[in-house]
Amino acid sequence: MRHLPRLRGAVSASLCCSSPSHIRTTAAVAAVATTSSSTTAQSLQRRTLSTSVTDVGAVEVQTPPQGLKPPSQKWQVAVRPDQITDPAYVPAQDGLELEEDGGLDGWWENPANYGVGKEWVGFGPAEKVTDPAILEVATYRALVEALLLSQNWSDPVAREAVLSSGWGPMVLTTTAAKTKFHNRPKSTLLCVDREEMVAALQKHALPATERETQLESEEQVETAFAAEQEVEVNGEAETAVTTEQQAGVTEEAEAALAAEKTAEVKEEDDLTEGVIPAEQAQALVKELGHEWKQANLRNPVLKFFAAKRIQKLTGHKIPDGKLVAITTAGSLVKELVKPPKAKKLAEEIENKEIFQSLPNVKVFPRRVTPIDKEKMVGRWKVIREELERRGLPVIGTANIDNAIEKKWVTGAK
Amino acid sequence: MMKRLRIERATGQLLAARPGAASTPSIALRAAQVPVRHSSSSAVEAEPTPIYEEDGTDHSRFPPLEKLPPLTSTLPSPLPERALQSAKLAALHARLSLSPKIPLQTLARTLVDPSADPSPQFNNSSLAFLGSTIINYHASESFMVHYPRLPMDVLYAAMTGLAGPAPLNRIAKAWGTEVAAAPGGEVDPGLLQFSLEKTGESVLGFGYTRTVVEKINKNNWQRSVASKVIYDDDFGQVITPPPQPEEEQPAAEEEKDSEFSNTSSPKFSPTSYGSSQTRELSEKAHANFVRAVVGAIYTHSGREAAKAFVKAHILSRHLDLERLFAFKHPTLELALLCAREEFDPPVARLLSETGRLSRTPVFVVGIYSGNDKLGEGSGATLEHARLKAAMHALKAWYLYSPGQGLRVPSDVLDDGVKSGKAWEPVYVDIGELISR
Repeated sequence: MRHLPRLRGAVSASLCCSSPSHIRTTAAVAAVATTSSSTTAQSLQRRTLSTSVTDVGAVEVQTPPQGLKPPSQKWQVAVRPDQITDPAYVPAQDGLELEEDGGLDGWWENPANYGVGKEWVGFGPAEKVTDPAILEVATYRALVEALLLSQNWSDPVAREAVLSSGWGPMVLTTTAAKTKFHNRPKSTLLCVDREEMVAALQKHALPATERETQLESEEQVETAFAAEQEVEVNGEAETAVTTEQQAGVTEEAEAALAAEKTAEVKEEDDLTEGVIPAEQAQALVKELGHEWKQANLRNPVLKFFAAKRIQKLTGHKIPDGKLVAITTAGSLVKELVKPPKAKKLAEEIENKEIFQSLPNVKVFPRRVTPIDKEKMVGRWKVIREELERRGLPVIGTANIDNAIEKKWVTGAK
Repeated sequence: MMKRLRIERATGQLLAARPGAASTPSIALRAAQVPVRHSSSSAVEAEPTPIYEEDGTDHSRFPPLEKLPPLTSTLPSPLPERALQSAKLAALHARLSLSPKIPLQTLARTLVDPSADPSPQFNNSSLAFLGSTIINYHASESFMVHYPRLPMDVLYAAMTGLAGPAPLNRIAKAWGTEVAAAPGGEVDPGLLQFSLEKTGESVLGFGYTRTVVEKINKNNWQRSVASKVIYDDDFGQVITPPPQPEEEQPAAEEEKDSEFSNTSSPKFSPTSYGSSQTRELSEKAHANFVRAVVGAIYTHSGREAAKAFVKAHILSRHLDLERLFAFKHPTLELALLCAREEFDPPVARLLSETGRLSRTPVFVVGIYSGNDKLGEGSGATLEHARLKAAMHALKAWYLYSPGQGLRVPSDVLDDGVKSGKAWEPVYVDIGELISR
């Protein structure tokens, strides 16, 4: 290994090249030599390759990723024994029965110390959508949005808004213009009124109407509660029975409201990532028909936008190689609907039930061990009985291992 | 002296159901099962965990491949329902090209020897008897039609060589029959199950027991062929009566004593391997399996299918009949034959010779009756050559065959009934010369 000459002053690691060629090292040395003449602060600045200008004197505090709770750096000192004020304290004579409290052991094994940072939020949903009707609707919607945006690709805000929206109502406002598909004269897909399509999709989307009804019901409960409170305040002189009744009623109302709120919260969470239900999707698929699937999908910008939108809606990531091969909308739907290939041969045999029709083939769910073979032949019961008669272990080696004689000799337990 | 008909005394139909006894093994299994205890304290009644047979293995690591109920291995043979799950059985069924009319459960039953399962409802004893009658009938009628002059003892030997336990054992092995190491309820139903420790009762022969059968067996007394025809079974073997029940009881008591004394005698004796008796038992079990298959075919597919099966698998085998002969006095026999048939008395003539004074002479002798040569033989001495010539002459006489592929009596049932062809009588010989 070639020994590089030592340079005067600190050299940042980024400037030390690992190439073996003589010329490069000398060039690096020359570069460093020229910079070493300047002041140390300036040289430091120049030597770092990062573009951001950092304060020389400041210590870089590394902020942990969101939510991580590292152990605190502060020391906690125990109270001196002669200064203990707790009357119940009895000093221990030995450490055998003392509990361990605190300490850093297993800090990062505790999931609570990871906090929110562990919850990684991906671009698409965590679980892929598998219902074919929903996938078809998602593809259709992605294509519609792509087509609508194709008129104004230059608007990045609209594009981002569309890409980041979920299954809620469509973000785009409709335009009256009709756009044509890039298709060959053979394909039959028609120019459809975008407004109609968008309106249809919005109609079938869940959130808007249900949210309204929930808000209404919430208001009703709140007003009822307020009314009861007023009654309580005014009727302090009333009999205990009535107050109890009212208290009961108010408790019930409280419970109902709390339940409603939790349900609401849950539904809100569902709304943000909520996929449309299967029945609605099937109805929509029937409405849409099959002609739109013959549309040509050769524009790569359109295709990739649609693929990204599909990932957001369904979680399916279509590899680029497959996308290149996809030229029609129908093949895009097919690619999504197609179930994934089984990872193991055993899974494939189980899913496709390949050997079920063959009566002379038996598929076992696990490895056939030598003991299983002995059982099939009927010899196992004989072996077991003979071993038990001799007091030998039937399975395994019991406590007899390789070094048994050594253990006898050395007297290990 | 006719004594008694040696027929199975307890067939399946004659067995009366004992009150309180299980009619099927599955019912017996359920009765013997340990009752599952449900915890009454839990508010939600949990489903009882499936209990499978305890076999000494770790079920959490290796869950049983076949979910058998407890005490299955105590059953003598696998339950009939398990026949549908056995791949070996289905493969055997297909390999034999059996008709779909024959269910897998029947084929599974043909593989259970009486030594494995004594119950005639679950072993192959009845099917084996039925099959043996069919096989022996077809074999004997084939010999009688194609070799009418065959002496009786040679006929017995030929029957043994074509339809006896040895050739049937080879046929079963050629079919790829695998054997279970020890019979039990957990065994694969596609394996042939028989026990080497105990012999089961099964009927194979149909005949009469002789009065002096013990002395015959003990002292190896001679039996005439005529008596064999009257008394013995299809292969000329003596029919021995089963052991008396009085003898069995003290033996059973002795066994019980040994159990109680706990002398750690093994249940499966390690010395029961590799003796001539075990080979004989194995041969018998394989032969019974083949017979049981024929019986099953007859039961489910009918007479014609059974005959076709027997012809294809058993009667098509080549048997060298001339090697079955054993003459004591061939020249005398030939002389008697010529006298009976009113031929000219046989004269032996030296046809050619070489090396008379050398170490290895060869004499070719021909036996003539008048001008017709009856037989020719060569030997190292003149006497030897003459004897051989006489034997060849006798063989030529006894192995006379009207032809091959002749119409046998059972063919009348096949084509005679439909076409109305009457039975044309075949050549029947006058009989043997010397009673052996």
